Amino acid sequence: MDKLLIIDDLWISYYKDGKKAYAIRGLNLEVNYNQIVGIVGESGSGKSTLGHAIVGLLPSNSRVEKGRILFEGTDLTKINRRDFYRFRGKNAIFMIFQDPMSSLNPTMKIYDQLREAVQGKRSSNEDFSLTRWFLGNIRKDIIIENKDIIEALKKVGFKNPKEILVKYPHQLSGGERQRIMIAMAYLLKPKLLIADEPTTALDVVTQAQVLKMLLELKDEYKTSIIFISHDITLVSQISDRILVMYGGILMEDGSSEEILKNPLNPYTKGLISSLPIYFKGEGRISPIPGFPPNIFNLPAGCPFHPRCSSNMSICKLQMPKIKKIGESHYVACHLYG
Amino acid sequence: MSHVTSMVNVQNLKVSYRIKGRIKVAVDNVSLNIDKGETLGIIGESGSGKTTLGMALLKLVKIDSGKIYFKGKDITLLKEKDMKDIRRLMQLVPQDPYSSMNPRLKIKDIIVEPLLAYTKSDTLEIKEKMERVIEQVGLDSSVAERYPHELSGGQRQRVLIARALIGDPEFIVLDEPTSNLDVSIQAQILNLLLDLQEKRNLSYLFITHNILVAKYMADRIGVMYNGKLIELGTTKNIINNPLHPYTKELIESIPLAGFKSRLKAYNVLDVQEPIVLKGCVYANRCKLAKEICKIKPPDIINYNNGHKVACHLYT
Repeated sequence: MDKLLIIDDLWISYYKDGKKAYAIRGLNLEVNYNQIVGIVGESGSGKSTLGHAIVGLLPSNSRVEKGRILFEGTDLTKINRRDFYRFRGKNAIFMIFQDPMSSLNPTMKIYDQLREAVQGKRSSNEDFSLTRWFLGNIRKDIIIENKDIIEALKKVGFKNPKEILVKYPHQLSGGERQRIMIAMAYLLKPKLLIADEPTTALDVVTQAQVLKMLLELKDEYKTSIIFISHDITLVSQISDRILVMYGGILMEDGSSEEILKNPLNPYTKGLISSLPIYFKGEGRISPIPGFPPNIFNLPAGCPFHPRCSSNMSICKLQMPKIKKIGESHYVACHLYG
Repeated sequence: MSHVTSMVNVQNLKVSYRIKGRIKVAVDNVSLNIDKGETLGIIGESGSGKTTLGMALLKLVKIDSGKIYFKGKDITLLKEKDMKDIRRLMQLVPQDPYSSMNPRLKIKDIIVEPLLAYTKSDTLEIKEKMERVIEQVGLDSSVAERYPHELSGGQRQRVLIARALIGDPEFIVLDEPTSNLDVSIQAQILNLLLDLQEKRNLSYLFITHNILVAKYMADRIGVMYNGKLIELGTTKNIINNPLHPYTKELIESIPLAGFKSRLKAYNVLDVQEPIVLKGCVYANRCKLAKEICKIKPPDIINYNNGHKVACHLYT
């Protein structure tokens, strides 16, 4: 079956104070059409770097050292930074972030932002050469009408869309802003949506709503979603498949059910046993000792070995390779051969 | 009223802020009690007044009306200079560890700050106490000589807990102490707080928006919405048998591992900014709102056995 996205042996480095560090080390990943893939990891695991690499928004001090990101056959790592917006727009790769305010223009009304997202900014004289800010009509195939914008806002739960259209982002709450971003996705009908901790700043009720809206978006447009979060329970609510990352490598990959019911990697086990599931006094959770590594100071071998209770001598020397263990269940750990 | 086992007791507490000439009531007529050795969890969304409530219990914000009793003593009108002895017994662990520390002080100086403010101990005694709390919160003794920016988020949170502990307090307000931390680190800090409570018989006010964390940490839970305490009960009652429509909504929205079908069944409502009406603060969001809800605010009543709720459905 054709894949929407294939990531092949990806290595991404950062430079800081003359030092170089790897945020992603040899990552392989395939995303099918119409699939929700959840990526779970703690700070420094490389999960956000991965998301930014796919949409071409890596910071200027980072570099793809090796590997390919194939989106419907096109290698995204070969696209010039300056041409990327056009590619994103045409092929509809969309990303929403933890803080929607950073994606919205504070000086523009919601109506103009939603319109611009699809049609691109129009300069007054329509002359390419005169203004560098002319973004072109990105989606020529979509003719956006006001009723489409209203429809999109209704889909993300606004009962009075007309009132919202004339507001500025700062007049909305965090949850409402995030829903504006999802409305934007409804207008763009993206093939791939990357959601990087989209609900971390929201309260639980709004969080559940945003998740539900993402599910509906996928059902309506067959959008594939990469959902990045530090919270494995949250990810399991929405994803068909979960990938666990640690220290820039993929630790485990499997269906959501498999990962939760039958986690194999000691790190995944530790993440699950860190969840506070008991009532007070009825049981103690067992946390992973230590803390996640700094990418500028990664341990040799398996990045998790200093915190791992099953660590063996080989773990200090050699990075584990990802191996197939069961039907759609892969793990990188020396315990499994 | 007897407050023999009571650590903190507040009656009809009201706190308001003046923002651009308008008055915003952050905590409205809240009464509650925390016993010795008990944890009261406070849950609610941002803007519900839970942080202000915590600050008010510590007398860190000006209160409009109501009474605060600390170990049976009325401290509502106590002057700051008379609060000194009591301050040592009540401490705060704030949410963002980095903004709560002076970046130019070493960790050892940050930790002993409360001791210098409230007691006259000699330097050797202070040093011993400092080393003891550093060990108790599970930090390596080498952190004493470091600066805040050299530590990780989890380590900084431990430093703040050490700072709260050094004066041997009896009551600690924990304001979202783990919400900025990674899951594995959150688990470490929660267990540390439980251990410390057992060893020292501490009372906690545990403020969080994470209901699972509240379930793990609290003996009883209070639910706040727009400044009002709308439900209060044992943790089991709140989680397994919520009464107020808002509490029910909160419990339904908790992400549970592997329950994908639950999300599909989730009912999306338009969440508007809470508008303060004459009636119940929740009325404009409530699916079950009746005519009376829009006119008269419900009083908090004892539904059964200490499970309290403020909702017209139960009156």
